[in-house]
Amino acid sequence: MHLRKRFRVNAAISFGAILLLAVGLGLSWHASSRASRAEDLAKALQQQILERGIVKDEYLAYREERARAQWYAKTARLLDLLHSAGDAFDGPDERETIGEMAAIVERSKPLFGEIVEHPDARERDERGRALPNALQERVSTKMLLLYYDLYSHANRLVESASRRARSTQKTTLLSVMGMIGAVLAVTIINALMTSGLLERRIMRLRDGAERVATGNLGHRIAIEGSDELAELGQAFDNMAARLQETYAALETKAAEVGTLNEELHRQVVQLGAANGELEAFSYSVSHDLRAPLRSIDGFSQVLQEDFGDRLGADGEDALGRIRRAARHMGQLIDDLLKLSKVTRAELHRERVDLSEMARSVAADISRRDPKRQAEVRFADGAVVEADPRLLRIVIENLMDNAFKFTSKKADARIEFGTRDDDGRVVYFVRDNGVGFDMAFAGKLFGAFQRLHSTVEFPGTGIGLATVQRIVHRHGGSVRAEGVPGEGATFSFSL
Amino acid sequence: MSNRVILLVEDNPDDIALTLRALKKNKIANEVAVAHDGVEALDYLFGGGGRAKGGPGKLTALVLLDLKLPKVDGLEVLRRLRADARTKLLPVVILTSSKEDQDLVAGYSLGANSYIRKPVNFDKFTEAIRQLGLYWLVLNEPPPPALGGAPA
Repeated sequence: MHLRKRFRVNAAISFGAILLLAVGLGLSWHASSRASRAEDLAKALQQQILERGIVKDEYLAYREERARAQWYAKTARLLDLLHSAGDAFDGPDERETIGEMAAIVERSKPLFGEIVEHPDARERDERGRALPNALQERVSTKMLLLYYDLYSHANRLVESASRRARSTQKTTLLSVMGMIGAVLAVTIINALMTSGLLERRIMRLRDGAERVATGNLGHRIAIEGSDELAELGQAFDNMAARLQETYAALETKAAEVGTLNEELHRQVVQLGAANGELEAFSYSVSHDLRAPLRSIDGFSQVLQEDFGDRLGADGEDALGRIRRAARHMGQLIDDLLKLSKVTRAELHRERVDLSEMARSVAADISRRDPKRQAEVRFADGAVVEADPRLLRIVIENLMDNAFKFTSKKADARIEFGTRDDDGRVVYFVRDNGVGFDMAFAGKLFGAFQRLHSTVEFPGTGIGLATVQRIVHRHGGSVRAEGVPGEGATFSFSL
Repeated sequence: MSNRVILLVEDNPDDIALTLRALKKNKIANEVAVAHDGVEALDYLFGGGGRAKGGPGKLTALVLLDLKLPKVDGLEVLRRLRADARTKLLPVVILTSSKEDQDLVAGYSLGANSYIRKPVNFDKFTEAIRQLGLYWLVLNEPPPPALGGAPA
């Protein structure tokens, strides 16, 4: 039952009880007014009987026509009253009394007629009053007896009516009190039932909400019935079910994330292991591969020095080639190690003055080869946030290349500079050396990629790969532009 | 000076031969004792079986120490030399193929006097040995033996 309906039913019950009370009151009032009407009627009868007696005595005394007419009128009135009293008095005793009273009145009529028919038999006293004779004496005595009888009957009626009025009052009082009690009882019981029901359900809702709130998502309130609280419970259960589903989905996702994390962690560990292996390998390479090269170069020289006279020109040439190859391989190993170091090394960014660095690198190169003539220009104020050790490798490689590839030019010109490229500062090293065909520009930055033979220009082909890796590690990019025979420009941003 | 011994700790026979040749080429006439691993080196310096190689009464002037050695490696040899009162001031030059930062740092931390990377190019190697000999055997004044400069 819906709460609204329940409240309406409660209201209807209260209204009905009050209505019942009102009807009861109405009925009681009716009964009591009937009782008091009966009392009034009985008193009126008494009055009439009394007056009729007085009129009869008056007639007996004065024999006036007026008194005689009044007596008859009062008798008719009395009979009328008695006749109509049947409505007010419905008890069998009362009806019998009324019937007897009517009979007495009827009996008194012939007696009064006898008095009227014998007017001569009379004498008067000094005040004109008729003196009683024997007949009169007899008749009037009979009538007096009838009068007393009638009066006592009327008295009985009055008493009966009063009794009835009193008992009606009592009944009314008792029934009103009883009804008020019943209405109160019904109202209180109804209220208690309703509030008990509401309280039980609301407690259940509250407990359910608390259990769900503490994490028991599988809990359901399941309030039976079809009222608003049941609907609320159902809505709550739906919400809890939805929450449970969402939570389950979340847990699945969390488990997936966990699995992915584990996977990632395992890969990190593997990567770490691989890195460690790489480091061990690099160490091994640097240590173990170089030792035999040293032997090759060293003992080739021993041959040259100790047995040079027996080798001849071809032997000398072969030994020279062996030594050059061994040194080149040593250089390759060193460069490869450097490339690998550049990849593994941690970045420590700080303020670096690239202009100053370029000047220092160019000075080092000139010191190594004082015979080289080149016009070198530097743009000032190229300050960046970068790893100075790695940046020095970049500048060294680019400067080395610039010196190397301008070595066959009479008027070698090298420039370190900066330019603005769509809001990004670009640093470049430009030379007027042999340059290169732009078709091969993409190959320049790959390891071991060379555009010139080692006879023309020495090198391992690892320098630009190292440059690119360092620049990429700083989040920048490199570019190479060149024209064969006119020069090259290598630029990078950080 | 030339009566004092140079201890060469090196396991590679080629490197031993080339080092000896470079020393000879640079006219460094000191006697050279060779230890082929860490254990031999320690025995030589602290009176084990190898002591006889150097001969009694000879002072050790310089140790040329490779790092990658069988049995006991070069860094461990250096650590023990520095821990012993008799050898804690003995000049030790690390002569190795490795240029790894960790080896450099470990070597200097343990009290190496110098760290030289053997070049592949034998001419450069010879030059390095020449400078070594000039510095440690001629120019450098060794600490007095009383201070533990070298074992008697």
